[in-house]
Amino acid sequence: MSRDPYELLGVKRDATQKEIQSAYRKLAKKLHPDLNPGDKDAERKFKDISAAYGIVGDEDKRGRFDRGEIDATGAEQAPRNFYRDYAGAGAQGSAYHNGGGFADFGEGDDLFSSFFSRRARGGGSGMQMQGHDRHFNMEVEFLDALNGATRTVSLPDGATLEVKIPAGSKDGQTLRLKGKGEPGLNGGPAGDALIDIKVKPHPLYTRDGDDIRFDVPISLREAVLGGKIRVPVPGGALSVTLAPNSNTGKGLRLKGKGAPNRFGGHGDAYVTLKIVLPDKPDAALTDFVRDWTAGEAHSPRETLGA
Amino acid sequence: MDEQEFYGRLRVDVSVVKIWIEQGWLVPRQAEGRAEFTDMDVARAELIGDLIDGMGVNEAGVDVVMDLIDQIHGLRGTLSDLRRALGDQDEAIQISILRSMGRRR
Repeated sequence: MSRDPYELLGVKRDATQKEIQSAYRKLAKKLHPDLNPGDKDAERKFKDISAAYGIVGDEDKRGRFDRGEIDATGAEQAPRNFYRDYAGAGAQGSAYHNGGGFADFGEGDDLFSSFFSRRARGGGSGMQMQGHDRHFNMEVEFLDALNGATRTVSLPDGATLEVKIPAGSKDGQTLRLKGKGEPGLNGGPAGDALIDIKVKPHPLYTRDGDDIRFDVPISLREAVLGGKIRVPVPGGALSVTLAPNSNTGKGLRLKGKGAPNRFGGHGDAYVTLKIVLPDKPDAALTDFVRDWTAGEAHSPRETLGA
Repeated sequence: MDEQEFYGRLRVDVSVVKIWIEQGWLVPRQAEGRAEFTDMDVARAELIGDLIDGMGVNEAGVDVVMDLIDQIHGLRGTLSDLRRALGDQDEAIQISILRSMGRRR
């Protein structure tokens, strides 16, 4: 380095020590070779400003330089290697390897995705390759998805695969069976089997996340007088007490009677009441309703403008 | 190199380097219960020293910077492998890949 240290740091000759430090920090952040791993010139530029700062950053040396006692080459610098020289030469497999910058490139199922996912995990670039993932679709009965089940899938090559469907599985969920995909190349690990689950509809229940919803028919007598009724929930029936005058559309929440969730708990069951008249007309009921004068004044469609 | 030599080569205090190891910025290899350092660790420690002393970066800043630098080297290594592998291909394939990349911009 032979240029004037003040000029190199871009400060005036009468700058304060604080101003010189601040100017050096600004340049160091821009020029440090480890912050510019691809810039070959960065090392020279950084060494120049470091040498300059080595003189005028130190009040005593700065005084000697200003008085002409030492020149701009007077700053000693210990030889050093920069981190980029090592990290660039094969950080793969080192404790500092970090594939976080491209780990998501490994999520696809093309050939290059497995290259990226292996690199992201810190694997080398040898010829070993992970096998492809294999995709399957599987239709599952509603209650099997709810309670869990084991199913056997036949593969195109005649082999079979035992699939454990976890309790609480949802429609559209993908199960991953590690190592059950295609074999790897040159001793690389096998790919995974990915199984997309399609849950068949149930005549009574519908799933809403971890909750299940369904309608429960009740008789006119149960609706008017209230009392205990039996409600069919998956895996059994429950006694539920209805309040008198329970109308169609009224909802009941049966806590913990929904699908198992991944936290070890259960969703809830939401029941909607539906009043059902007897299949055959009943003369006594017909007579009662005809003579029931208050019923004539009851107009449930009033708010609908009809 | 052992701990003694490692500290000798750095121009920072031993107690400071111990903190850097605790922070996970330096990860020496463990051999027979003792920490083993490489030239790479020395260069990395000097970089951490530059960040703190030379540039005034604070602890949280060093955490972020080192993580991003490690990610950049991961990316650079992968990109350079990919570049070399592309260079091994027939020229027609290289041209076809370049065209395909051009279409995505």
